[in-house]
Amino acid sequence: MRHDHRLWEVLKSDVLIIGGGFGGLWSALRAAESGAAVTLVDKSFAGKSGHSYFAGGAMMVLLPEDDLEEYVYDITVGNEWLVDQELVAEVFKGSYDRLKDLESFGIPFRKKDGTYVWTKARGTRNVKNLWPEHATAADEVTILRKVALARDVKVVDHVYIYDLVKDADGSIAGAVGIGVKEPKNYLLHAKSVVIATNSGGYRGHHLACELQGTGPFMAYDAGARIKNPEFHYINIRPAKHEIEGSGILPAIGARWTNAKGVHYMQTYDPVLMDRAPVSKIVVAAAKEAMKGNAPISIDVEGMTEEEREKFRVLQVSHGWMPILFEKCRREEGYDPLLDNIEWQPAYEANKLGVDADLNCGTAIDGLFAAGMARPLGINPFTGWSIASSTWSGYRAGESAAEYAGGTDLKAIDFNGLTESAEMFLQPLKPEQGVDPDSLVHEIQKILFPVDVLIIMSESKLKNALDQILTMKAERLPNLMATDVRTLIKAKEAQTMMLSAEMTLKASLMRKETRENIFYREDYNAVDNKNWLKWIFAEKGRDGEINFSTEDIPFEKYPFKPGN
Amino acid sequence: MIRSIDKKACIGCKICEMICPGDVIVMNAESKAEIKYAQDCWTCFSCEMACPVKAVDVHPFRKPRPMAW
Repeated sequence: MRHDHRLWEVLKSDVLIIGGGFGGLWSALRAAESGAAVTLVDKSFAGKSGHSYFAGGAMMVLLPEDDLEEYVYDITVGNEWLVDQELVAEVFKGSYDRLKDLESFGIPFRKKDGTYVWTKARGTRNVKNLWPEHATAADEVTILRKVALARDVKVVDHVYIYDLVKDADGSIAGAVGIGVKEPKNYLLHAKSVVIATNSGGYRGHHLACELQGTGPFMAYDAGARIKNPEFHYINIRPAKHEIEGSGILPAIGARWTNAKGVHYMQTYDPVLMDRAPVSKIVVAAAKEAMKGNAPISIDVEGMTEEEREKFRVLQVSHGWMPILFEKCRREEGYDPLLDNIEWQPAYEANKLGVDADLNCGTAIDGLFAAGMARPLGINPFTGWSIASSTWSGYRAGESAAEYAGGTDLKAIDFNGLTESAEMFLQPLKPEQGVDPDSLVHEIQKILFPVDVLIIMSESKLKNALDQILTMKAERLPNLMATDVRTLIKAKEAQTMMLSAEMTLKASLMRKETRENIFYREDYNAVDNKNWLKWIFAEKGRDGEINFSTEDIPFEKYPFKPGN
Repeated sequence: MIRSIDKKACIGCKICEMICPGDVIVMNAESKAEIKYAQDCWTCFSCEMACPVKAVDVHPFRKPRPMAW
């Protein structure tokens, strides 16, 4: 391979941002506005890649007439008390200003008679979701990219970052990456770095096909802590096609149905029924399947034409959804709004992140984390992801610019860089070995069955962990790459192996059930006495994962369980 | 997953090649867009929506992957 890792393309800036979704672009905008010279790097094309591109567009906003305490309470309860309540308040305090920023960028939100149109966020009593007019989240991030460019942010597309660089004192000095389209080594030399790469996953389904977790695990390798490794976002998807709508269809009249035609959700949640939080719907579908009642479908045949029209306006009016629905009708002979099709749970993303404070600072001097790369709660409420990624991006950009203002570029140890590059390039050496795609497929086969991460139990978690550890010992060292593309896939496979080991071990630790987010069949009740705690993971000196727990500091929060 | 690019219609503008998040498309020797790594397609429809001459076709089929049951 014509790739000389001794040659580096060096790009210098005050603030380096890794990732071009909501978190990264907001960081870039704010850091630039604060006077910093900013570089933003993305493995694909910033503004069109990553998880943000697929978001529905709804954003939780605290309007001036709304009560902050009510918002914080709803989100805290929805997270089963396992969320940082100060963080939740910060997300909402700035939300109205960010809404106004978005409007000034040319992204208007829906209004009627001069007031914002809102829907109540599912699973909350009071939280409002606002909807952009004539735009998807994909359009929003595309516009944020344009604003970033107008503010002189240097956007570097198609460069994959695989390692962070620190100086001799352990402060951040930048990051190293490789060109995706041309084999070139990049050193992004910066005074501060923001990781905004989302969290990770196992390429579970269409909306999550790019999530593999390099960002948080680079920070883990560099000495930062991972928080919430035991939690996941498992969604429910059509078994055959990449159609959306699990969130909104049942909210406007469709009903979850098993093979016997029974609308079973009333058994699992007599109050919210088909509108229950997604994790509850996933667990209910899983239990039905385990009783032999699969396939599961969304019964759309009983919807009224008015309800269907509402869905068309909200979800099928723009972006890629109209193309998708049209092709299902034309080529597959069914209409997702008229015909019942099979749905199944599908892994979307893990909920772990680089532990970060309210200024988005991490344990590493000069390293900040934004968006889903940092912990932002566990419950994937509609509208929360964009609101919290926006807040953390804005805040991380501000903090990273301030930090950069008080420091110089750190000295770079080029021998260390060479070592880092050699580790990354190692899979190019063997002439025979394990293909990264096949390794990822093996990980999926271990983690995706319903009784591993959805309906959890000690025996099944241990069994999955044994399989992962065997793969780690026998197959991981033999990963083989033939070009830059497979080299990146090898790094991603290594990351997913580490993530799988971490998540299975942490899930074994949490011996309780949190109804809306974590279901253990063998410990099927909430345990507030022992588990009002967060789990953390750090890399030990021996390279193994060290776990620890911390009590959630309710003494400084407004709300406590039971009040 | 991406299904086809109409070579006759393609004007070689490179937009699809530039924005594809999975880096699925390459420009061939005749400066036409070509599908090279279909298995890495995200099924995001970006290329189909951005193509100025509607030469790209993406199918809504999901990629085969292990299911929950």
